[in-house]
Amino acid sequence: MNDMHFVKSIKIKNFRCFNSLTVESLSRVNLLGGYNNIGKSTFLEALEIITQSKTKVDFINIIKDIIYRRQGKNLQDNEFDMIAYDESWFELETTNNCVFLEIKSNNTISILEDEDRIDKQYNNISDTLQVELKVNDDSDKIPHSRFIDIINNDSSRYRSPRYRRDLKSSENIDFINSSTIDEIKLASLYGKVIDLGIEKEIDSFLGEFDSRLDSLVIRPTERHSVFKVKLKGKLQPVLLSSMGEGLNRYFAIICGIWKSQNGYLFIDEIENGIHYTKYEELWEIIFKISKAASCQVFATTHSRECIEAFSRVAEKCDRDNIKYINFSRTVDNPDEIVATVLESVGLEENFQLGADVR
Amino acid sequence: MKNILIVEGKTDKKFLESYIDYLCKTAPEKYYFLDDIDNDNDNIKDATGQDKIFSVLNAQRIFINKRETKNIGILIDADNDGIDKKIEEKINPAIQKAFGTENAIQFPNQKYPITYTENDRENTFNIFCHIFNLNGKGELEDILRKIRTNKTLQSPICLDKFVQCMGDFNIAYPEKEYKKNWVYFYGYESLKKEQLNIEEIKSKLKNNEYYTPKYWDFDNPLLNELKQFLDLFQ
Repeated sequence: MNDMHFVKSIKIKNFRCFNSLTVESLSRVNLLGGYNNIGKSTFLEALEIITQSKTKVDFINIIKDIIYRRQGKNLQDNEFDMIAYDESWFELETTNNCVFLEIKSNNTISILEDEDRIDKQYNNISDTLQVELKVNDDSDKIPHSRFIDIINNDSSRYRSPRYRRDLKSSENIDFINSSTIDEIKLASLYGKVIDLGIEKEIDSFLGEFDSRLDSLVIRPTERHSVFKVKLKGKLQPVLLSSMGEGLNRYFAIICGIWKSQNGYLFIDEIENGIHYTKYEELWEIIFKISKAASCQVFATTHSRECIEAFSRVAEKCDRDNIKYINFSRTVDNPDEIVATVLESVGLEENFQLGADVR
Repeated sequence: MKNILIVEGKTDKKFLESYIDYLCKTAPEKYYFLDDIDNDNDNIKDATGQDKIFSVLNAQRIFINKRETKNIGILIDADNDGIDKKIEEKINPAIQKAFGTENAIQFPNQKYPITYTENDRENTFNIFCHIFNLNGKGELEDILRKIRTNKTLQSPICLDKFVQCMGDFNIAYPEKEYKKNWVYFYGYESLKKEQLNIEEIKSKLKNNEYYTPKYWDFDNPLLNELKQFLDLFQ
């Protein structure tokens, strides 16, 4: 198994709620727990940024994607909110990669030296702030107003090819968020399954989730394709979306791991929509496929049952490659968040012993 | 700051709950630091079974890292192994497995600070232990037998007859089990004298509500070492 690309540790500085956080001993499958608003999803974002950012272009585009995903519909008005309160920069660092972003006063840096017409145009309108973006040793400075336009995807003002994304760089990294997964997202995940020719395997996993399911079919329409499910003994397939949120999510997770082969999959609130009796099956499949696909998985949860199922299944699987990470605030300084990495096995016992490790 | 007490078995947990409650009520100024254990029985962890001390310590890493748990006390029986062997073979390996510190505890009833680094961050807490014993061996139940208030109470004849009967079949009744059952029968005999109906007695037995100063002499000098151990939570 090729796990050389796995993130083994990460250092986070001034990123959203984390002023300074180091997490070591990360593994192939990592489940993150902790109270609400403790930074679990933020931790996923930090990992997503550092794994996506091979170049400055990747860096700025993943920032844009995350802000769009989180703030969504307020196009033109989305705010850049990734720097910790009262700070002007953030930095993320793993063994192989380091990204840095700083907002600073315009007069502290020189006017851009490159020939980019749009950069000059922005400088001419006397922007008072500039943004420095750095990926490893490669850095760039752009006017703050232009940076905001880029993260708002304002095409009327942002036409430079300089920050146009190379789609290939992010093809094996994906994020499944906590809300309902739409057909477009499912299609993007299922594409890789078709490329790999493993549709039958996916059908089999879906059958394990719900024994009434026979196979998945794609019904092309004029504008896009619709996922349908053939039920055993029934002629007409039914819409996958009509089968409930749990099945959609289960399907997205399985396909997401294959889509992220030799890469990374981030899953926010993994238990959403899935009945607790299905958690063990879900983890079994995640442990199995992530190993086969050499995909590093990071998932968040609030559910005690989900953690216990994770622990029980880890006991049977390759426990050395499965970790549980708890986030908590320190008693003496509620702004300080600390992480504790626990072995996956024995978590159920910890709950029984009265230690709420969620 | 939180104090955590790790014990081995339901009897030990119930006895400690009752004993700490007694200390906090009779000398609240002296034992103010035991309040959190007295008020929250969840701070006493029953770690009966293989590797359970490690499990509790390992989970406590979360609470030490967040600066919540400051002191962890471990209370176990000497049994036939003796005090040193219990520390060397049971307590220290669990501490080493959880925190990486070798031979953390040398002697019972002494406080040892442990510092470990996790995720680039230094964490410190205190650990200490007490080994229940009479002359270096034995268990809590041996002490309980010595400190019972009613020495004239008839010994549980049916238990002795049962043990004798098993012996006749060449089946040895485990000594540890005998001692535990002896305490249970003593509790039963004591409750019987309280003019309670059988349901009330059953309920009190089920909830181990016989670990009270009325039936056990909580001021007996045999508990002085335990008191010294509890003082370490200060």
